[in-house]
This record gives sequence, structure tokens and C-alpha cells, in this order.
Amino acid sequence: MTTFDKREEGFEKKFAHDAELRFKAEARRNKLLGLWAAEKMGLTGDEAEAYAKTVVMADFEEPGDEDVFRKVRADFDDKGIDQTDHQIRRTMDELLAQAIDQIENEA
Amino acid sequence: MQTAWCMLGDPHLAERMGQAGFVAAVADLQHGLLTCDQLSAFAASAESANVAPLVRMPEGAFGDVGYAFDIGFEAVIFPMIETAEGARALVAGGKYPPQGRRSYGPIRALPNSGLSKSGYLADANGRHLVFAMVETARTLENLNDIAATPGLDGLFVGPNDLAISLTGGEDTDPGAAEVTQALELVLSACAANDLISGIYANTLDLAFEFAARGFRLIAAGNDMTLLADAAGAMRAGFFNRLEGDKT
Repeated sequence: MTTFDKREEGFEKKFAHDAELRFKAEARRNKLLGLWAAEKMGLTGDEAEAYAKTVVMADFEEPGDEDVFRKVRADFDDKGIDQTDHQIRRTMDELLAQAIDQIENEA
Repeated sequence: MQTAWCMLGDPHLAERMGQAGFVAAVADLQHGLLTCDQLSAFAASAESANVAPLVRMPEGAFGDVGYAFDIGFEAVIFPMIETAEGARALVAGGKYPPQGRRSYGPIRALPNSGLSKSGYLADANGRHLVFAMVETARTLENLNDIAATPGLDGLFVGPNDLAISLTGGEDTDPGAAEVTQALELVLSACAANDLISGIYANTLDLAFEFAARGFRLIAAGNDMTLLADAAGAMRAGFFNRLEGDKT
């Protein structure tokens, strides 16, 4: 195996690791976002957990984050919760950073 | 695979590229601010972060190819190879006999390889790679002869120079139709001669396009533009958050 093949293999391993980390981090972020939104809507305990699961599931509609944003936006509008688009997106960014941090420190 | 491309004059950049997840980093001596006396520190910095150190040589520096390998570089990307004669000079400088006539003196490469002197000699021509850059119309005319040069490991496209050459000095656009056509010639020549195909991509979009075409080694952006972009994003993010909090 030449030097280049070895380097390419290293790159592919790292790529697979990054993809897995990203997948886990987004799922964790969605759960944290669900718990945050549940609290805003006055849900606690099992109800909050159950709601967070629906936010995690919402991310499988399409690639990217927009599906998750739309889900929380719609639920807030339904319940008359006063949060701007900016506040929701910013919370998503912050919770993603928190989720990556949590997962890296667990590894 | 992706490689970082370093132009700023600091050997520690290689380590930081490793921190960012890159598995290879190019020190650009042709157009960058790095100087020859920083090269061995660049290689050491790359190795400390498990990054493969690569170097783009200055034009015409055939005699320094072996030295770049001596001090630890895994591959040399050599600009403006326009003829088979140029490709042979590149191989001569970078490979031990029988392929070339590299002079023996692997000051860092031998001790860092963990091999014996004879073990390193036997392995060296496969462990240190030479890429000829494809940047001009003349190179394209001679492409088949260049690609068939024994000992050559890869072709690396410089799409900006290639655009300038193919448009007669009218344009630097790496997305120009003339360049896109030339890319197919390069990929075919690589496939026919078992060479590694490489290319520099100015933007992420171009990097994706080149990867989709089948290029194996892609340099996406360089440290100067990445730094300016990241600084701009931080500045704009701060501004947007201040504005967002007012609404």
C-alpha cells in the first residue's frame, strides 16, 4: 500500500467518525431543543420527554435543520408562545455546540 | 481526500490544520509567505498533529525536491511542468535510482521512518510522491508524454493558471469551460497511467465539483482566505446577535 493510499484511508476513517459525531450531536441537540421548547410550553416530566422525542423525529423529514425549526415554530404558534425565529435558531446553534461538547467529553 | 493549503509564513499552521481535522497540509513555497528555512519546522509541526506534510515547490527548483523529502515531506507538487523533459527532471530530483538520481541524505526522513538505511532506500521511491502541475496549454499538448513518465506519481491541476493560459490571459476563472474540458483530459491521463489526480479549488463549491468528477487529492481554499472568512463570520455574528437581541 502506497503512502497515498494509507493517507486516503486515514481521511476516510476520520470522515466516517465526523459523520457519526455529527449525526449523534444533531440528535442530541434536537432532544435538548425539545426539552427547552417543552419548558416554554409548560410541559414537565414524561410529557416533556415525550414532546422532545417528537422534535427528534421531526428531523427525519428532510436533510438539514429547517424541518426541526418548522416543528418548534408551529408548536409555539399553536400554543401562543412568544419566541422569535431568531431566538429559536440561536437556541438551536447554542444547543448544537453544547451537544457536541457533551458527546466529545463522553468519548 | 482533502488537504489544507498553507500560505502564511508560520510553520505552526500545519498543526492547526490537523486540529481542524485535515490529514494533509501543503506548504506553498511558490506563492506563499513561507520560506525555505521554515520548511523543516513545518514538517515537524505537521507530523506532531498526524498530518502529512506536502510542499508546492518554487518554479524550476528541481534540485530541491530531494531535499524536501530529506527533511520530511511526503509529497512535492511541482509547478509549470510543460514537457516530458520537465517531468523527467522532477522524477530525477525526487527518486533514487533506478527511477531518478536523488542524492542520499534523508536527515529527518530516515530516523523518523524507523527503517534501516537500506530499508529506507528500498521504500523511499514509494513513500515520497512527485506531482507535476498542469497549468498551461503547452502542458495539455504534451500531457500524454508527461503522464507516461516513469516514476511520476500524480498530476495536480492549477485551475487558475490554466484558465489564464487557455483564455490567452483574458480570465482567471477556474470554472471556465476551457478548464472544465481540460480536467477530463487530466483525469483520463491519470486513469491511463495509474497516477493520482489532484487539484486546487478556490471555493467549497469547486471542491465538491472536482470531487464529483473523480479527483482524489483536493486542496480547498487556503489559510489566508479561511482566516479572513472566519474572522468575518465572527465579526458579522457578533453584529447580528446585537441586532437580533433588539428585536
